[in-house]
Amino acid sequence: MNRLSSLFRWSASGLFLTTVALPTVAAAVYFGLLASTLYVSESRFVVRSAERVEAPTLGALVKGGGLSASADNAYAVHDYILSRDALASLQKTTDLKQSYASRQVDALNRFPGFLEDDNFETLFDYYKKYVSVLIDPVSSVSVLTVRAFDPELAVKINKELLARAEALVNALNKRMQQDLLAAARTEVAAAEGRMRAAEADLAKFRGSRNVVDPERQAVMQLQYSDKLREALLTAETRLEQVQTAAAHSPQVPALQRQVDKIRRAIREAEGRTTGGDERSLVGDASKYQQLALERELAAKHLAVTLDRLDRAQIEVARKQVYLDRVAEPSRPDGSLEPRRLRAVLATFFIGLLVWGVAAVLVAGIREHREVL
Amino acid sequence: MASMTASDASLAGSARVQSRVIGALLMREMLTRYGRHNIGFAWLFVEPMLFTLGIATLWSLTRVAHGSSLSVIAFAVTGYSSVLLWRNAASRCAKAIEPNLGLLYHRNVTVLDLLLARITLEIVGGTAAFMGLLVLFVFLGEMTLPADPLRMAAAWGLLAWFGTSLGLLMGSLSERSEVFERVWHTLAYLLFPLSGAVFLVDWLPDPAQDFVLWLPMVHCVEMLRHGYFGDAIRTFEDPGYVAVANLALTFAGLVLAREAGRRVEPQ
Repeated sequence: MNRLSSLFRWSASGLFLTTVALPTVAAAVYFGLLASTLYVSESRFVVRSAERVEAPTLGALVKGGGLSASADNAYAVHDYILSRDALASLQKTTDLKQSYASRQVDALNRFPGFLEDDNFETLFDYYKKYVSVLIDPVSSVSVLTVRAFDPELAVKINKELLARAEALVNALNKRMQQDLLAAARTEVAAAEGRMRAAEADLAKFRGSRNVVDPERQAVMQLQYSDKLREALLTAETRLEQVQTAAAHSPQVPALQRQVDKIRRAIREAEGRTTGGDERSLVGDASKYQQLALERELAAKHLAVTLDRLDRAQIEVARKQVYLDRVAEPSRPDGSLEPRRLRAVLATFFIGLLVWGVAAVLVAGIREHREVL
Repeated sequence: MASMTASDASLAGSARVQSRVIGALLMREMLTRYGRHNIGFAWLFVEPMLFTLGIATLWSLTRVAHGSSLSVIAFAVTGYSSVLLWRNAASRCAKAIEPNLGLLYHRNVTVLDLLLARITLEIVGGTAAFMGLLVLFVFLGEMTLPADPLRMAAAWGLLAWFGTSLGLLMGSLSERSEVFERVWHTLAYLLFPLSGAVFLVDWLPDPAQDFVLWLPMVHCVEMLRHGYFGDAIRTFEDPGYVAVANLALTFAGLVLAREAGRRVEPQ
């Protein structure tokens, strides 16, 4: 150990200066005097949807394809906050760029800095360094942190971003609502139209045919013609009876007229029921069947589409996304950054490490000597 | 200050001597290890290439645990080549001193030289293997050209530095007691799944991420992949952390190496 320390002393004075003393002094000067104070404004919010998804504790450990809808939405909000759109809207409402580019800010932290140009893209890169959104995986609370060289600006930016995020969430909700309901609503309208058309056709048919329900009417007609047949049979029997008993009885022609009348009535009735007669009930019945079926189908269709609309509305309510503020943007009255003493100490210790490595390496080199 | 200049002059001279010594040790190491027959020293990089080739084939055949659209072969090549770099550098340095005690009789040969020679050899081999595979697969169309070669080079540099510091530590500690060598083999085996070769930090749940990011080689692999895949993936590297960790490890390694030298060198 002794040889080690003597070795260090011997080879190290210049080395120590360059690797430890100089950097530490420079750091002390910069962090002590030059570095501008950063103020941090923090707010917390939760993005959740109405459906409560209970993440099982194992699920909290095993991340993977099973992201719940609210986690997806939270990341959408995060992406928005760190997007060019957000920066553009911030530029309209705050004097973000002037503040970060002002002479008050030390040259190393100022926008645009030494090597960068002054344009929107570089401003965006810069912006991303001073605004951050992190999500706590267990509680799903997002933390929005804004750092600025002016406390008022930090708060203002934070508030603006939260407002924009809420607007985004609302816009997304509205869009989702429209998408889900529009389709269902048009379907319902179409079904209603179909129903009305079916009813109208049926009414028109009934009106033009002077029938109400051809099938039942046909049945009634058949019953009627059955009765007529019975009556015919009775009348014919009577006629026969009278003819065989008294062929010249004056009842015969009357009975004969009765029989003829009944026969005619039967023919008429049957003609109305069947046959190619355009007043045929059977012909009407098949057409009536068609129209009645169409109306039934239209009714069922309408019921189905109404049910779908109902379910779509439930789904919309379920999928509504809310952005709840857990903590409003904090007003920094003191600054936490930059951590000056820490930075100087870090420089010192890293300098010591570098010095150690360099010293040992140099000592190692020196062990080699040219022979002859 | 006057003494400074005088010793500066001899510092340059000493540095020249040291580089010659290390060069000679390198050649000796290569010849004793690979000989002149067969493909000779080409085994230096062919061996790691075959390793990685095998792993890449295996993974692409079994589509190991990838839910993503990343090329399996690129993933395997970037992952396994990195592991080989630091693992080989460290493993070759274990028990490196004992068999070469005779060399230390030379005035200008130090323990540090021995270790640095072996480390350099392994780094050259690993680097050549990685580049060879990259060229091969790009030529075959299995891999695309990297998105940011500079970042990859920086990551590889940090990995090589990490391997160097591990090698220095292993060489010195294994000389003290063979316990360290046994422990190292076990440790290297266990470290392989943790080293970031088989996963992207982005795939892990958050608590696991925090834990695994304590290992410097994970950052290096993340950075390498960031350089290769570009914006297609999210990476978590912190080169500053790696640099500081490497500094600390290198310092420890160097000090221990000098200490080992003092113990071993017949003065």
